[in-house]
Amino acid sequence: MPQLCYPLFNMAVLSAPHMDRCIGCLLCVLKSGWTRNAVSLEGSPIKIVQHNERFEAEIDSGVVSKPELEQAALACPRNCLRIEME
Amino acid sequence: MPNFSRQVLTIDLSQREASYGSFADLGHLLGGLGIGLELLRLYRDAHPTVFSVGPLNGLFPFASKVCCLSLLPGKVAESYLSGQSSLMMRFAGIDAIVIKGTSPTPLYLSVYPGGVVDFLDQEDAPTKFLKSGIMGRRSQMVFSGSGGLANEYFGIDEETARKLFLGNLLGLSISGNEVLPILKEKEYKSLYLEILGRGGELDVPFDGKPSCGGCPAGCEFSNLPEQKYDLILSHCLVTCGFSARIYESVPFVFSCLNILGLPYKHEDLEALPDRIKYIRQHV
Repeated sequence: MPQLCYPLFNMAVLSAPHMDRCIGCLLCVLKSGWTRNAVSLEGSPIKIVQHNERFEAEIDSGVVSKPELEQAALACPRNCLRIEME
Repeated sequence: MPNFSRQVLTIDLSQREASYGSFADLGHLLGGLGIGLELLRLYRDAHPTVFSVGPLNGLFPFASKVCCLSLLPGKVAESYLSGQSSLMMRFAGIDAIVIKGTSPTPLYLSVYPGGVVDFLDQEDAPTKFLKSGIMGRRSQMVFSGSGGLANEYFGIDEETARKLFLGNLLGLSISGNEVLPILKEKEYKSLYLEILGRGGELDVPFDGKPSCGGCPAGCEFSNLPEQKYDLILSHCLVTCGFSARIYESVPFVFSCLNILGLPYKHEDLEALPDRIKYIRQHV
């Protein structure tokens, strides 16, 4: 069986049910790279877009592993993000 | 004496030219205020505006500002910009942006990683500018005669914004997507979390306002450009002035730099105030 370069089934999905609390600190984006021993905005499953005082999250849970999703969710100081098991 | 080069993007608005290169002798000034003042001195005949970041920006909490220096008749306008611009500069691989000259027509700039610059000056430039850059990985500043805003919220020093506006620069977008490897993984993560845990030492309480990149405080002053002038180490690192109790400690900053693999010595950091004072006198 060939090894997949990324997991097809994370068994976990990152959601952002409390974006009204988001302050745009980007810690979730920055810390999700820690599992790859790097700090970057790229490669993160999350994009935070600012509109004046409001923030929106674009999340692609399929591109990274479950530990990265967990790292991102735990990094948020205002508990905006949640991991949901599939 | 460490001699780390710094990556500087120089933009000439008159000629519509940009050059990106290493400045070998800026390392001893650490970053931010130090390299900003030195670049002002080097380009003083062109009356430039300089945006600069330090070695901790993007990598440690509360290292979240951009040093803005502008050479005006008889003085230097100095301020520290909040928002995501410091992260974007860091992840674009740019330590400083020098802007000089006056554009013949209104102009918007979009800066990409590696110092690539898009000059937008067509009729549809305002629309193109809003769409320029890497979505979710960009910071956009707009300048007007009465001031400026970054990401529609964070205030830019009025004099700096007006000067850029009078130079016909109406907007500056910076996108960053570079990857910074962590060398000493365990130590880095431990120190990062320690600093994050020291949030109670900030001079302001945590609030729910839009925050600077890498700062979980979201304080009520985040929309104002910082204009404290009594800090040296914090301003060379371009950390938030409210976190001075954390970043004004030489031994602590030495640890941060050491973990990033930057072999500065205590003496280098202790000599900074004298070096900054000397350059200030010669700008």
